[in-house]
Amino acid sequence: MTFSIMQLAPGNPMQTMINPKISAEEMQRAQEKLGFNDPLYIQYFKWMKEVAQGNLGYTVKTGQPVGKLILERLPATLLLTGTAFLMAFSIGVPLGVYSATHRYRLPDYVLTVFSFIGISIPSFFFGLGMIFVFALKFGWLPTSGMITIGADHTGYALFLDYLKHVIMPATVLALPTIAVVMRFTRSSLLEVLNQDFIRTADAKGLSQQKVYLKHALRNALIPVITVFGLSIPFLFGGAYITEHIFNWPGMGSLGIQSIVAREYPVIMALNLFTSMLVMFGNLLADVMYAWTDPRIRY
Amino acid sequence: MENLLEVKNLKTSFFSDGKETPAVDGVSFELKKGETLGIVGESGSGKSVTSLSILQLIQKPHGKIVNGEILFKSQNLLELNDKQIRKIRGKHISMIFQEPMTSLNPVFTVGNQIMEVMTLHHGVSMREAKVQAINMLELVGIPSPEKRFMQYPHQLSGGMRQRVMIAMALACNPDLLIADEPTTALDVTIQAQILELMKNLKKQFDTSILLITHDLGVVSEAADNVAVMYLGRIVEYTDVDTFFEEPKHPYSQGLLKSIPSLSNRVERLTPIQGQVPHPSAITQGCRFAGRCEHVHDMCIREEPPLMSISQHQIRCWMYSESWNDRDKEDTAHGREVAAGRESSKVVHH
Repeated sequence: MTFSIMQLAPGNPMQTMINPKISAEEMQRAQEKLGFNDPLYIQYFKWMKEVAQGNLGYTVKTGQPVGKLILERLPATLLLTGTAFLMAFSIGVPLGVYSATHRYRLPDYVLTVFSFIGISIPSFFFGLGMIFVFALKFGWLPTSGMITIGADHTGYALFLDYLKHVIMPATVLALPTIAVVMRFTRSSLLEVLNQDFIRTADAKGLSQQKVYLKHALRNALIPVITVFGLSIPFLFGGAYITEHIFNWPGMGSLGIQSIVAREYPVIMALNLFTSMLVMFGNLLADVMYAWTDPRIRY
Repeated sequence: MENLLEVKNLKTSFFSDGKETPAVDGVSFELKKGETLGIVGESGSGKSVTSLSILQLIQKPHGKIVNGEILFKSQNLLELNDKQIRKIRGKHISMIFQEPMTSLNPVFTVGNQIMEVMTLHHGVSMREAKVQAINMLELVGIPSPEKRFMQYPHQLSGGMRQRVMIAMALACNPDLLIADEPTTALDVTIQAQILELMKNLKKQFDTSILLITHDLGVVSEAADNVAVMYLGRIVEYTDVDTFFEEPKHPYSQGLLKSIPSLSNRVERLTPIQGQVPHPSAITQGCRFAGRCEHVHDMCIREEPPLMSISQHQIRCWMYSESWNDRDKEDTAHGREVAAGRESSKVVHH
C-alpha cells in the first residue's frame, strides 16, 4: 500500500541526482539497471524478500544500510516521544479528573477551552510560537537540537541539558494527546460517577477522594487505555513535524529528509516501523485492558 | 425505649431549571433499636428518596434536603458536615441497594470491597480484615468463602452479590441497616432466602432495619411497623398486624386488594385506578383524591392532616368527624372534579 502510494509521487531518486552532463539515454540505462522500470509488484516482492531476511536495504544516494541509519536515530526519537507520552498521561489524566470533579464550574470551562485549543492548534504553529517566546524572547530554552554542541556535560549537567532541549518539542508533541486524554478521562469519569457502585462506595463512608481516585478512576481509565494504545503511533507520527521544527536528530526528521530526497528504502523502513508500532500499541492496550478490568480475559 | 432513628418533617426536593419538585414532603417516623420499619409505596412515592436522605446520598446538585430533622441517637445528621456524615456511613448506618448486579465495583474483588469497610472504620490490619471478611461471607451463607473472597463481582450470581452487599453492610456491625428494595431484583426463591438471612442477622446483631419496598409480602414477612407512602407523604403508619388486619387508608386498602391471596381466591384482582401523578402536579387537596373511590369535595379543597386513631396514624378525611356531616351529593361531585383533574394532568404531560 505505502509502497504504491510512494511510487505515485512524481520523481525518483535518479532525478534528484540529475546532472546536466548526463544524457537522457544514460539516465534510462541506469534506471533500467537499478530496477526502477520493473513493474510495481516485482519491486515490492524484491523488497519483501530482503526485509524478511532482515535487510532493510541501502540508501540510494550514499549506500548506507537503512537499518543502521534508523537505529542511529531511534534513541533520540524514543527520548522525545517517551517524554511526550509521559507528559500526555501524567498531565492529561489528573486534569481530566479535576475537570470532571469540578463539572460546570469555572475550572472545568477553562480546561474545556484549553483542550479544544490543544486539539485544534497545528503543531508547527504552536512549535514556532514556543520557540519565539521561550527561546527568542526570554532566552530560557535552546531553539533546537538535542544537546548543546561542544559542551562536554556529564552526569547531572548532561541530564539537565537534555531536559532543556527536550521540554519544548515534547510539549508541542504531547499537547494534542494531553487534550484528548483529558477529555476522555473527564467524560469517562463522569459516566462512572453515575453508576450504582459509586453510591455503594459513598454509603460505605469512604472519603470523597477515595471514592473518586480508587473506585471511580480505576473504572474510568478503562476507556482511556484505548487512547493510550492509539497515542503511541500518533506520537511517533507527530514526531515528523515536531522533530523537523526543532531540528531534533530523530527518525522524524530522517523521514522528512527521506521524503524530500525520495529515499524509498528509508521511507519504507520507517513505514514498516510505524505499522509495527500500531500493532505494538494495540497489543499493549489489550494487555492493559486485561490488567485493569478483571472481566476481560483472553 | 429510646428511638434509634427519628425522622421529623423531612422534605427533600429536586431542582431543575429553578423549579422545585418535592419528592418527599413532610415525612416523619421513628425506629427503635432492634425494630424493623417497612416503608411501602409505588414507584415515585418517595420511599427511596427518604432512605437516601438519611445518609445524604441524594444526587447532588439537583437533589436537596430542604427541611426537617434526622435524629440518629439524638444527633441531627443534617447538621453534620461532609466529613462527619462519612464517618456515620458504613459504620453506624449502612445501606444495601436494589441492584446487586451494579452495586458492586466490577474491578475489585469482593473480598477487597468488604475489607475496605473494616480497615476504614475499625482500623484493623489487612490480615485481620481478611479473616473477618471471610467470616462475614460465611455468615451470609456463601459457600466456600475463601474462594469467593478472591473473586470479582461478575463471577457471582445476583443472589450471591446481594449476600456480599449484606456482608459488606454488616461488616462494621451497624446500628441501623437501610435496605432499599433488597429483594426486588432477585428471583422469588432467592428473595425468600435473602429475607430469611436478613431476619436472622437482625436477631444476631440486634440491628434495626429500615426496609424500603413496594412488596407487601416482604413487609408482612419482615417488618414490625409499616409506613405507607404516597406522593411524598406518609398516608398510613401503624404496626404490621393492624395494617394487614384492618388497613384504613383507601390507598392501603387498594394496595392490599391488588395482591393475590391463597385463602381468598377471587376471579379478578382489583387494581387501583390510574397512576401516581408527577410530584409537579400536586394540588392543595388530598394527594390521593384523583384515584380515590371515596373522594369528596372536602378532599379536593384541603389535604387531611396525619391523624392518630388508636393504633393508626392516618391521613384521610374519612376518619375525621366532619366526614359524617358531609353532603352526600358532594361525593359524586368530588369524583367528577377529581376525574377532571386527572385527565387534565394526562394532557399536561
